[in-house]
Amino acid sequence: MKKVYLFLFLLMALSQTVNARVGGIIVVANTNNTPMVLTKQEVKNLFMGGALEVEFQPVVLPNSSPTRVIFNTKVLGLTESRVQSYWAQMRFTGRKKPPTQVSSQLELIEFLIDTPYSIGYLPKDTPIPDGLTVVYVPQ
Amino acid sequence: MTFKHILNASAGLALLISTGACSIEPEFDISGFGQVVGGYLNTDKATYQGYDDSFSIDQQSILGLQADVQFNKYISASGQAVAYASDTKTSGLEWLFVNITPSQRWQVRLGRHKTPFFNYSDSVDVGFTYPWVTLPQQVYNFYLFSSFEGAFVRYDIPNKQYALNFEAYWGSFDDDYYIAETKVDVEVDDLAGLMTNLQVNNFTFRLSYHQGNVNTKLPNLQAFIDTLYNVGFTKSADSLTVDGHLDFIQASVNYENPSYFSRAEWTKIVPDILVVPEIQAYYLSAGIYDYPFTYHITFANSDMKFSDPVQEIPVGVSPELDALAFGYQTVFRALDKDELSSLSIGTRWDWKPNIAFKADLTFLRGEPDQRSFYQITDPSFDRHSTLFQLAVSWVF
Repeated sequence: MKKVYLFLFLLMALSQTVNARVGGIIVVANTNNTPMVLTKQEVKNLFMGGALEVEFQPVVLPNSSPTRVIFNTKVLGLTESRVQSYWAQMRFTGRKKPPTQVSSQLELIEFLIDTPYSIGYLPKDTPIPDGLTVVYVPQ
Repeated sequence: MTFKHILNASAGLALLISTGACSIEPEFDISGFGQVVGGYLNTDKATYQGYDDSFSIDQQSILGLQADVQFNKYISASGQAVAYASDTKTSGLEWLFVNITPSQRWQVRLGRHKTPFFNYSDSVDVGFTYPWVTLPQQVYNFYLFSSFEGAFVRYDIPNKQYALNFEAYWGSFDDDYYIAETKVDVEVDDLAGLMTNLQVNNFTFRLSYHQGNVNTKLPNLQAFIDTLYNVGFTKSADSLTVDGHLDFIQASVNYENPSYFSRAEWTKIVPDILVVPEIQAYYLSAGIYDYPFTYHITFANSDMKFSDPVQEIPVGVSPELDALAFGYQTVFRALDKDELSSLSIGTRWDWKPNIAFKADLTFLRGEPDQRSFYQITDPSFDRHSTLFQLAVSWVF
């Protein structure tokens, strides 16, 4: 039975990865049960160190993640190398620090659940646990 | 009480508050950056940025280390030290400040900072942050006071359609520089600036204004200046002193998407000091992203002009006055002009997320009767040369 669960889990993970590769991602936040929708620019501001009316803590996936590549391209409008050089400029001029980085989607979901007013991105078909809200879906 | 005392007291107070308010253990974070740059200039009649007709890596190679201490949610302290391979730059502490962030919108820093004149002025040492091996020298070579002691404030304005922030700083600068092996004491009071950054869609705009009151004694000229004062030619003497006001204006626009980019930056420095030229410089750059490679082509140019010298010393009255007038005119004729056009093509390869290799080829076209940023060793040099540069930049 364990093997069946493992197979189903791997299948789900694979489908999410494939989904991310073809461009389906969602931006998910712990809004403390407050209904909220963000614009693309607001999401971009948050992940580039800018401010919002509500203070969110952004969290990102590792740079090897296809979901991150899609997010960078569709939302930030930047390549991974530009994201890295942007944060190097922010950090080494003492302005801003890059978002918290986690090592997996599972860890990202746990972080979002545990941290009020945190925000991250996931493959489009990821089941969203209670307490988290989809705040932006890229076209 | 001087500005420095107020600053030190404020920084000390902030640290005291932070220590008292500290509910968690301070978090320490060490990061750093570096670059090794090799270059070759295809002439034996001059050097440019220290490069000559033999390949060298000791001109622009850099190692930097940054320490950040987070005392609590609102207060942190950061410091950055940089070691330069070149002996024309002073290695040591670049900046050190207390950072107060009452909210995501506000940031207040007290301490020593890099002066954020232009787009890359405060990250000039971090080669990883830009696509070129070396920043366009016409824009990024013209200031002596690269840091200041004072306060810096940033305010981010939340908006659904754009990202907008304002930055302002105020402080002073007092340090020694070596210009051609001569120790020069540079003092800048009321150094202040206002900057705004607007990011909308794929465009980023930056507009800034900076000003300062400069007082510098040039030891080589001081004896002559004293002579002019002693014989009553005070206007002439004053005109040779580096004591006055400087204005800096900057505007830039960047466009980028995941496939290509263009960057343009224009700067103007307006002095009310006769021996300091008015400088106008810009660069235009366009490129393609083909991850992990970036390709760029960049044109840069600088124009400068000196004000007319004072016509105070009568000529033809006596041999002594003629000698004095000749000496005065000679000083002005000897002032170096650095007008230069350059065209660069280059590539950057982001090998790892934190390591990039770069290669640039720059065609330099100076003016025949000017210095044009060169150190000229053969007067027959036509101010035309080609610079080859390779670099590896990293952050950690």
